[in-house]
Amino acid sequence: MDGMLTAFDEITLVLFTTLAPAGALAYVLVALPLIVSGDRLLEEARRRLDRFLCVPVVVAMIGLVASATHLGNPANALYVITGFGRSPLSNEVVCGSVFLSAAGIFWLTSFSEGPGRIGVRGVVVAIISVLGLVFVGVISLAYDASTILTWNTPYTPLTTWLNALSGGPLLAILTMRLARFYTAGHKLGRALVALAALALVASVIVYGLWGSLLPELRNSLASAAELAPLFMPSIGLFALLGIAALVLGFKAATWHGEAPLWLPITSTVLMLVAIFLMRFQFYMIHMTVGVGV
Amino acid sequence: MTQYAFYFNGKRCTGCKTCELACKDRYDLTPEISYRKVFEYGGGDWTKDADGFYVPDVFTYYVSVACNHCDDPACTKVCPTGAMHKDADGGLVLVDADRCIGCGYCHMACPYNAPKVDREKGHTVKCDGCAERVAAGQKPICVEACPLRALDFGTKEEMEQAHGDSQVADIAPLPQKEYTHPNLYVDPCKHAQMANEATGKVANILEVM
Repeated sequence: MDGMLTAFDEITLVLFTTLAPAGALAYVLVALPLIVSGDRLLEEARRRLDRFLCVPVVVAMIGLVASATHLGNPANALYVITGFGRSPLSNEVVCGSVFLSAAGIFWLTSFSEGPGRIGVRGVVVAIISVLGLVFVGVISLAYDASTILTWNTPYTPLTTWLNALSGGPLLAILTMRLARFYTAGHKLGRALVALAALALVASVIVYGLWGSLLPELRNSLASAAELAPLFMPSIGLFALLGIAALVLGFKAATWHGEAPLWLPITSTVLMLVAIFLMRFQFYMIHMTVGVGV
Repeated sequence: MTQYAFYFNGKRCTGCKTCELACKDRYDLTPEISYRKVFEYGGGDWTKDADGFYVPDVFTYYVSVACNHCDDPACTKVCPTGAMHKDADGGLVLVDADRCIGCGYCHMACPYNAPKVDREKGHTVKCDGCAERVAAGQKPICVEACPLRALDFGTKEEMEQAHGDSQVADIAPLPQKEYTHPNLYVDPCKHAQMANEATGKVANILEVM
């Protein structure tokens, strides 16, 4: 018996939990220059950054749409609002919808003809960034049910945040490259790569600790280690893909002039594939305290 | 408030699965979906005694389980739409198909593996305690089908009165009762293991998953 079937059944949720946290965090990171030094940025650079904020939004949105495809009856989806505050899944969907709607509308206003009030735009994008962080927060808590033996651990929220912090900065580097946004001495780019690198190291440690627990986590049907026999080797592959992504991300972020697009694209894709791999393992280890896997 | 409960007598059950099939027949269920399942739970070992003889202490027993219409259900807590709810009249855990989005979180959270999303219907399906039959004054079909009279159903008070020696289900392979406070009373068989001291395994995984 293994957990492959569960993970394949929930493959769209694997995709959602890979893309949405990374997209939301990338949004916050790309918005940072607008929040911190909005009116000190060159008008042209500010406008480009403003418009390309749609990239992380689209990535997160693809995740949310993917998650909706696994529903048996999406026609009843509006009822999800009624569980807000009570059900962790409702919190996730409502917060995601609010963040993405706000970010989408804000993006539309970036096309207005006039210069707009830069100070106000800075405040609005800061508020939307907070909504983005709340979205990552509620995703991290959505799977922590007391009856799910393998998920009811601090590792569940922790890895969601670490995944966001690994993938988000690289997606932010890609977005800034598309917006042709640079900082003196590639300071911001270097900081983003450093953040992703720290998160990757922390992820490997946390996944390692989680993996070492799996043989002990068992119910009457199986042990978690039996459900995901390749959990530990997957951490190795996760680390390799992540390191490759970081190297490419560093190259892209410190390139003199415009980095070739394939660099930040490949970097982001490699990191998202790495995260996807471990999210797949996460669904493979699903087991309840009773007679469910 | 009335709270209905099931009763299971582990001293009588032979694991024949008539209960499971009667339910499947009544609700026209596919091979993939069973509202009631019979778990075959076994374990034990061989040990060498002082004279060099190997002595077995192996055991197997059966537990027939459907939805336990828990007092603190894991499924209703995670349900995003409120489709999974406790009925105000009898405390049965029911699915409102007009609200259910078929996300399957109830299935993932329930430690009794009771709810399941029927992909063709697009919503979760599960044991409703044969609510219609109960309203008509009958027992659920599984209870009436059991040839050993190992199952019973009624209000909590009725079950406590009729089966005085029974206790709230806390035996393997079921989870410890504290997780959801199931409305299932059990008369455990001689070899039954407590849920928190279980050493065996479910032996018929393909039948119950």
